[in-house]
Amino acid sequence: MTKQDYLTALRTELEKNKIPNVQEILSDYEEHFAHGLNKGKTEAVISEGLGNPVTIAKAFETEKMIASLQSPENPFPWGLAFNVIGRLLVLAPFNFIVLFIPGAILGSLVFAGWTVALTLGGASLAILSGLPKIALASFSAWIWLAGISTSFGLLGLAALGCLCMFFLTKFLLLGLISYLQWNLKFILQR
Amino acid sequence: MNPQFKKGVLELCVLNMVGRKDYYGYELVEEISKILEISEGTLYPILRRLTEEKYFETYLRESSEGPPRKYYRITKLGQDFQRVQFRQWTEFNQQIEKLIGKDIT
Repeated sequence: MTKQDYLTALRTELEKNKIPNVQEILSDYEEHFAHGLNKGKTEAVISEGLGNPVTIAKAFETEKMIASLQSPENPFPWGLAFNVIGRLLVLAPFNFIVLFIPGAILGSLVFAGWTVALTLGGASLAILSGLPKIALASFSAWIWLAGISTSFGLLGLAALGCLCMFFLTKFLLLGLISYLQWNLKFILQR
Repeated sequence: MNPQFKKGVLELCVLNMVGRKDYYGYELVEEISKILEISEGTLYPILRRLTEEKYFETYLRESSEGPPRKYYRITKLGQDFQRVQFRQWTEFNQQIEKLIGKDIT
């Protein structure tokens, strides 16, 4: 086989076996030919000595398999770890400003809202439960009427307050969750 | 010689030879094929893997007597690897000798 035939055959076999860096590999064999020719060998003799291109491509395939077996599976990703720590440090002051300060304000607002709504409810129930006593003392139908209407009015306000607070709290919690999710995404992105 | 035997020891030979001195491909192939009958072309895959695994590094040098030569030089990592491989080879030989005996001819 001539040098050109040999290299062409080798290229075909390497490509068939999906061996990377074909060009570099071929240049090694070209150098081998060059040295052989320099020592007075013929291209046919050198080709003979090198062996069948099919065998050589298989040898590259084998070495590729050995390399993949020997390379350590998952070395600890130091780069990624440093990245994550860095991002955490960037986020920390940001989170303090975004989460802590508005968090404190919104949190106390929510707490106050719930307290008002529940107090209204409590007051309404207190009036309702105290009504028979007061009514018995004065026997006035007007007091009954006033007591019941005030009580129901307060109860309605309490229910409305609770409803509002429920949606407000839900909305805030959902916001908090999506913010935390964004945090996680920011930290874990590659 | 049994081709399976050769395949196993070729890497060890290459490691130890390049460990002693820098070789260029053709020279190494020539030296080995003086002693072991091999398909010369199958040595380059081994050289390439050992280089890719950072056991060897290569450099190009012009020569007055012929074409430029791609030399292989062992690295620090390669030396450590070679020592481990050599020790394993010696131990392996001793174990096999225990099993099959030294004196069979």
